[in-house]
Amino acid sequence: MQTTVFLRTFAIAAALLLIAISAMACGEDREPQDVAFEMNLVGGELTGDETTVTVNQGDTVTIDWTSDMPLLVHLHGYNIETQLEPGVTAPMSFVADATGRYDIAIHAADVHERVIATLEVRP
Amino acid sequence: MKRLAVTIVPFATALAVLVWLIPGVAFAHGFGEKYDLPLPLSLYVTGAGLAVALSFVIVAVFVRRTPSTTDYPRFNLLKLWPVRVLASAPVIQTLRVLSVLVLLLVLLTGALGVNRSTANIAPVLVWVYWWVGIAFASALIGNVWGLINPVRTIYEWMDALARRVIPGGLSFGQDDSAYPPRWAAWPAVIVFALFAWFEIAYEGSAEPLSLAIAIIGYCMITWWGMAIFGADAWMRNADVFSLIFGVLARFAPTELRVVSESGDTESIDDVEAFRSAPPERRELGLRPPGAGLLNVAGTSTSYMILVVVLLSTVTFDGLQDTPPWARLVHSAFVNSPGWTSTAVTLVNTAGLIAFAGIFVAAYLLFCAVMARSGEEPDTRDTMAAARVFALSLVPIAFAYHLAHFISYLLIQGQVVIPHASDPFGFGWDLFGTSDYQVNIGIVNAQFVWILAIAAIVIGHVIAVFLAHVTALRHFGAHDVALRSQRAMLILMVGYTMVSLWILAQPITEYA
Repeated sequence: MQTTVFLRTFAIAAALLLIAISAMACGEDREPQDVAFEMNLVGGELTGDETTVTVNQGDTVTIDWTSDMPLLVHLHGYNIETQLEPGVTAPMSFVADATGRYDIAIHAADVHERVIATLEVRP
Repeated sequence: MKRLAVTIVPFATALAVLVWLIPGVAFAHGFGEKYDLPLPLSLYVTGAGLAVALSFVIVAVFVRRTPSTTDYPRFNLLKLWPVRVLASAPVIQTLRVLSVLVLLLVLLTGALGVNRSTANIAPVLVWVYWWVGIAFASALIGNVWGLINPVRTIYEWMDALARRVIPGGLSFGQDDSAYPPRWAAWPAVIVFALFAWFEIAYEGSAEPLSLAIAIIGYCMITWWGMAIFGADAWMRNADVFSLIFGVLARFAPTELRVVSESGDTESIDDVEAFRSAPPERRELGLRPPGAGLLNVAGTSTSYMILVVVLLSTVTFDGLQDTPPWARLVHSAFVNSPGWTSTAVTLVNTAGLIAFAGIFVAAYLLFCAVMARSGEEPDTRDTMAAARVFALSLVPIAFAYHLAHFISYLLIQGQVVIPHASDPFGFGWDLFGTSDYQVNIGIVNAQFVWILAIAAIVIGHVIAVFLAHVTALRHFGAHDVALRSQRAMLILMVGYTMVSLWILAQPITEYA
């Protein structure tokens, strides 16, 4: 008899979950877009306040980097490295096909690896 | 001589391991990143609402009717020939040999390979496949660790070799009854505290050499225990991973059951009894998920503490990655000149201890409230209630663990592909896969979110259900049992909310 109780509760849970899932699946469909961001580093620190780059899945993303010192910028997960030199704008371009939250870290000869920003790719 | 071995070996080993680890190399982060997006607010609210609503559905069902029995339906899978083949002695023996080989590979690469977490196969095998993978398999399939535990297999091989020279083999000549009853599961609690610190607070936990040393330390303690008290007694009472994976396996839809000649149940979920039983009396039962968590007869205080502390570390592991915790660490140390990775380790150690304390205190407090409903001296006892109800929280913890680690398992698990070609990090390419790039798109955030909500709501429902059945059994009278469950329901809803809240937080790496 407990099995009946159990199964009935499960059935209710499953039904409610289905409603929630279908509500989510009916979300708006977006066309992939080209999006661009600018990020400026002074002494290895971001000058802007915005440390999270938010894009939608499928977007073609370009981040234009500038820095007053030589640095290696590393986008984790996508595993893209861009070398920055003073006075040169270095673009980091990719198609955001994988959802998730990815750290962007800097590496330099005398600087410990440090996370300076985050890329969020929303489904 | 024997007394010397009894007292000195485990403590000397533990001390040696700790001393070795303390000045360890610090890394920016432990092994393998998590790329999860925080749960959106709409799903967070949906999950929370469903959990509360369904709790009341269960309460209402129990108010109307009194389930008369705590038995559950089961089906012996060994009646099916493909399962019989999979569970046959040659297959199990092959799995045991493979698991010993994997352990030896971890020790060899850890000791001799390039000592960097990303260059070596040891960290992914230990943290992704063993710790997360075996935990998932234990809860979703059954007690696999009990059957393939390589530490035990190596001991049995060494013991068989030793028997050719010394009549008693490695054992100190005692039978299983020699395990001191008052020790109960305390050795497992102590080793788990060390393990949790190593996993969560110690910055070098992904360093291959530290891993190899920690594993050897653990093996020494385990082999010592098996030699002194007998392999079965040590595994059943005191071995931390047998107990932890055993707790998770009680949630699993399969059970290892031994029946008597007349067909009565002799033991359930007792790996040691199953291993030594004659084949015709073994059954591999299929059962409703979570039903095994109701078999709590004889649970000790130390076992309850082990379960509650395990739950606290699962939650702290997630909390540690949230912005509020990062801010706390930041505010504690940002202006201090001693701002080092050692300081972070200290804060995490303090957090780990504080969290274990908070969990045990909160759980005992709610158990005290529950016990006030009792009408007999033995049901009014807080500790008696605490021992009986601890396992009913396990489904909530496992559901959270599943939600938290599913994408980590699927993404970081791929790291084994390049490392298989170059296990030591020496630049080999044995199978031509050393350049494999991890596919981070293998699992979509939408899928993870829905799985997370489904797992947490279902885990919560099972937990509330188990607690009600346990209450009926523990308190006897129907109205008393229902009254006692008001407190438990508040605790479980709170616990589920905390789990959902952590999943709704962005994961931060404090820099």
